[in-house]
Amino acid sequence: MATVTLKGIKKIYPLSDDDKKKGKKGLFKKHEEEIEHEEKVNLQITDQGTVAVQEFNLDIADKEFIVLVGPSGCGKSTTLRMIAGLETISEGELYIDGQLVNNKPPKDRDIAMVFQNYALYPHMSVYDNLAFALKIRKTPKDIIDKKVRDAAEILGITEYLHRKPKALSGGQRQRVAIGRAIVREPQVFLMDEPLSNLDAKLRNQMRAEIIKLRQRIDTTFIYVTHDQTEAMTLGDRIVIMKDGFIQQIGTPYEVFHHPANLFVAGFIGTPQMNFFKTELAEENGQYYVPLFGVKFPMDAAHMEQIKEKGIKPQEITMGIRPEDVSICYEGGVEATVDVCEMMGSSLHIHTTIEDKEIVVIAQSKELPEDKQLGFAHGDKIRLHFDGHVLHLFGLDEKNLF
Amino acid sequence: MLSDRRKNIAIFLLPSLVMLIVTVVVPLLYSFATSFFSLDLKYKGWGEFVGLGNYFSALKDQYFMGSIKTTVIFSVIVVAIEFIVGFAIALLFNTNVKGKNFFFSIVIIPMMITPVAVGLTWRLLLHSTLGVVNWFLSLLGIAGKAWLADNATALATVIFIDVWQQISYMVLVLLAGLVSLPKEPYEAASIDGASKWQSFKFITMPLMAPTFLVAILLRLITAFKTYDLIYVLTKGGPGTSTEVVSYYIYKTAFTHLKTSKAAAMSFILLIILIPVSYIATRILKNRNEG
Amino acid sequence: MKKILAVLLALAMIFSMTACGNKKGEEVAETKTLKILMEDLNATDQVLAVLDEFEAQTGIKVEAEVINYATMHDKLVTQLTASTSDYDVLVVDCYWVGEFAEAGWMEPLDSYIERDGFDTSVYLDTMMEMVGELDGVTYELPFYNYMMALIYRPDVFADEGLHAAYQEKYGTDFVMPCATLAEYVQIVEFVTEYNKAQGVEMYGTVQQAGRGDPIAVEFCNYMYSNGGDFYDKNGNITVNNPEVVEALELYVDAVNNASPAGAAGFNLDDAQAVYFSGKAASFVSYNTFMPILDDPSQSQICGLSEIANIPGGHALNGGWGWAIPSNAKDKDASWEFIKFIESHDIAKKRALGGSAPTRTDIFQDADIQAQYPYYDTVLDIMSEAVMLPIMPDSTALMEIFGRELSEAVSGAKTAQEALDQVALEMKDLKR
Repeated sequence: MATVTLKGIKKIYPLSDDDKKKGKKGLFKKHEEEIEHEEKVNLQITDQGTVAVQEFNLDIADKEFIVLVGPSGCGKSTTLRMIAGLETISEGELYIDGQLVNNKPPKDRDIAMVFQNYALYPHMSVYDNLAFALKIRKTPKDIIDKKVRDAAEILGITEYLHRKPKALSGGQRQRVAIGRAIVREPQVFLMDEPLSNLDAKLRNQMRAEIIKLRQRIDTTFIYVTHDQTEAMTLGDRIVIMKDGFIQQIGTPYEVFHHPANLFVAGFIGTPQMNFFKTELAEENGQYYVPLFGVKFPMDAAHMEQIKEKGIKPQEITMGIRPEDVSICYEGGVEATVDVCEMMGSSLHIHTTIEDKEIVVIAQSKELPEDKQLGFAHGDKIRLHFDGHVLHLFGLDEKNLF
Repeated sequence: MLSDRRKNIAIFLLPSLVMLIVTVVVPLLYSFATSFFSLDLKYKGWGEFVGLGNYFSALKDQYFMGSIKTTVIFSVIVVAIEFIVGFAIALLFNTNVKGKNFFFSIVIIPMMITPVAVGLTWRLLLHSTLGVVNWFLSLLGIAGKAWLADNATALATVIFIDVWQQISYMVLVLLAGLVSLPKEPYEAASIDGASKWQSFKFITMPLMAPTFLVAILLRLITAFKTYDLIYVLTKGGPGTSTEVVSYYIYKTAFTHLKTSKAAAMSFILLIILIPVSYIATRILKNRNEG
Repeated sequence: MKKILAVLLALAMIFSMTACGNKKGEEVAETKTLKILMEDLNATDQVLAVLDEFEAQTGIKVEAEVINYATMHDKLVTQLTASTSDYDVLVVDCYWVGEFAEAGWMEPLDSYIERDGFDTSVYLDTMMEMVGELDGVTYELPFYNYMMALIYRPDVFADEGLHAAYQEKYGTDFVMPCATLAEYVQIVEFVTEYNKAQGVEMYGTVQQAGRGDPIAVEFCNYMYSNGGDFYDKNGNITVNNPEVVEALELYVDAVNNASPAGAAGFNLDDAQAVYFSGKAASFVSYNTFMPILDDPSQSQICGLSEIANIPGGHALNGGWGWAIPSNAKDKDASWEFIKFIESHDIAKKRALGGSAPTRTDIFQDADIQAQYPYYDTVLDIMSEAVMLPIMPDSTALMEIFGRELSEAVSGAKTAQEALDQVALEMKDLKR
């Protein structure tokens, strides 16, 4: 149980002599190989090296559950590993429970960590895996035994205690990895994509168990994932990262309903928010957004902010979530159905208006009976946009409001 | 479907199976059979059937038994030194030492030279009056020795040369083992509070154990069969101080032309080696299944 | 389709193996090529030099595979026990003769000699006895002799200070070559001791006391010169008789006190290197070294060596013979080659190049005499020289002998113990 404070934390991978010769082009390639399993990396390269994490500032309250989320290579795992002490901190200060721990080895930080690949000791039984940290600390045998059995009980792995990790399923191994962290009773509980190696069903189940676990052991959690659903369901607050930069820190509600920028808006929520290039226009002091020949007026609350911030009419990107588009039978805009995905209780309808793609979520029981199983390719439907939930982003991709 | 697959398997397996039978099984059975006769290369035919006579005479042969003893001493010392020093070198190479690649190439070189060339080179270097080693020692004011000609130093010298050549095998095998160790358990251990020494003791050593065993056993088998180095360096001399069993068997077969007795000796050697290789293959199999 | 391909592939692999076996037979039909396995030394070089001449005369090509002596016997044996041999002509060391003859690996040459009227009376009797006839059958023609002898440096032994010091120590002077083996060992030990005191690296002798053939053949000179032998005239084993034991004690004494340290591990080439570099005053070795010793490209002591009989008077005689393996493919071609190489002109040509002669007419040839004036000495020594026993198990005898002598030199056994062991094992050898 402790607070964790990150002040201007940076991670810079220094350039080797080889890299300097190769120049930036070669570097990208190299770091793509080195830093996680890259898809698209656009990390900043300075004279000092490649910056994997930029100016990371975050105050984590005691017993808070923080989720670091972002695409591969965004620096989230690196940040977690710096907190753990597995990576050196290039710049900035890290405090755990008010103590500066930059130069302390992992064992002196009183943290526990669950790894993506479980990182179990393959030659030890489950029991010994759980007991290892305690044995190292010369804890008396009877206390070790009690703690190990308690943790095994919590995780439902008591019957596997004598087994070796290779005789366990993926889910069971992950429980052991979590159990190994539990017996430590650490100040801070770090989890690095713990569910990403599990299949979908098991992942949902384990996610629920982590929520339960958190209620039971009640300590500070820092959880890294690339899965926004995990982030939304688990986090008290979510830190969204991209290319080493923090994009937004906020509660799940905040990041969903008030994304700080285009990236966050697109990253959080499935299906993805619909985006359209358009403008914020003004007519007689009233601001509106023209789209598909319809003028979407800014509501009173928005107008107040426009006045307050002195926002001028400008080119913008408008975003609207699929949930906020609805099917209507008169008025609205006509759209052509491309694909219709039946999700059970709802339909994800991919449509086109004037060559622009729009995804709509419709509750199937609200549709006419003959359409409840979905629309056919080429069907014409009319769409209504809820003007109150428009998200407007300036050319700098930042939320105007 | 299955029978097609089986046919394919048979077709692809057949050539290697035939090769194996022709080159391994047949000679093995042939020499096993000859070990019960009194076959002499000078004469046509198999000679008389003597039952286990060749085995008894081999076991009663003080030089054969002596060569087995020498071989055991040689093998155990050679493998022990190669293992300990080789593991130390492998550990060093497994860290980020400067100039690692350079030294690695140097360590690997001896392994690429044939034992005969190694033996001849060292014979020259160790020549008591014209060799570089004694000349260098004389510069340091140390009296040189007749390394390969002195009963007291011959076996130790041969051991040194064998270690010099074969240690790279140990380094390679152990380094391959170290490199392929998973990294995560070490990170987990450092978070669990283990010191470097504890990580080594509780993670590296147990994880390397199967590699250790395989490396040691395989090397033990090859050390037991050492022949060429002895042939070039000492011919078993001075006296019988470096006479290893493979060399003795060779002499029996090709100088004395006592083929049957040599075959019997080979099978005695085989009987000694079978348990060793059995353990090695069992470990290898277990590891592959794991 | 895939399956057919797989079958074809498999068949191709099997046939390619058998195809390899067929090839050899075809080649012989095309051009005649004779293969010989030879030792890497000067006498072989002299043979190589005339191969083109042979090919020009007969159209038969000769390929000589030249290797180190140590591996020759074992390599030949594996070929000779096969149904056909890779080698068409054999060079046979004198102490293999008994074994090869017993095994029937050599073709009797009498019918060829008779057919072509080849005159074998030109050979020295000792050579014919050693590498020519056996039990009335001619298996070989003598190729060259490698009788051992004492090669020494008169300049070193003539040193006045050495003589003075010797006289002071022993009360008498010495002459080199000396009369007895014991005296020889005493002198060479003194030379070593004297030069060491002077700070000069000069050993009285350098022995090839390495285990195996080297020590066995060198010691034979000591044994014979001290009046010993393996067997007496009646075939009784005499190898552990007192005179042999004494010879071995002298030999060991010399290894420890006259030769450079390490001589107990020396092969021929190690000892040769020491003597040729001018660090030894004498060595018991092959008379065939004499021409090379005066070759500046190989020797640092040109013109300084002389040859003499072993003190005590009985050197180890040795020589090589030409033979045809009984499993050779084209024996007429093989004989053609032997006839050519042993013809007077070619034999003389080889002898001029330094290959030690085996024919009386060559020994007495004026050109040869002019070039190698010491050949008279060689003939004198040869008249008293002794050869190894010709017996089926002679290679085994030499192996046992070499091992036990090495045991004595290394100090693991006394001379008596070592020779008793030799005598014991000799009982099992076929004579």
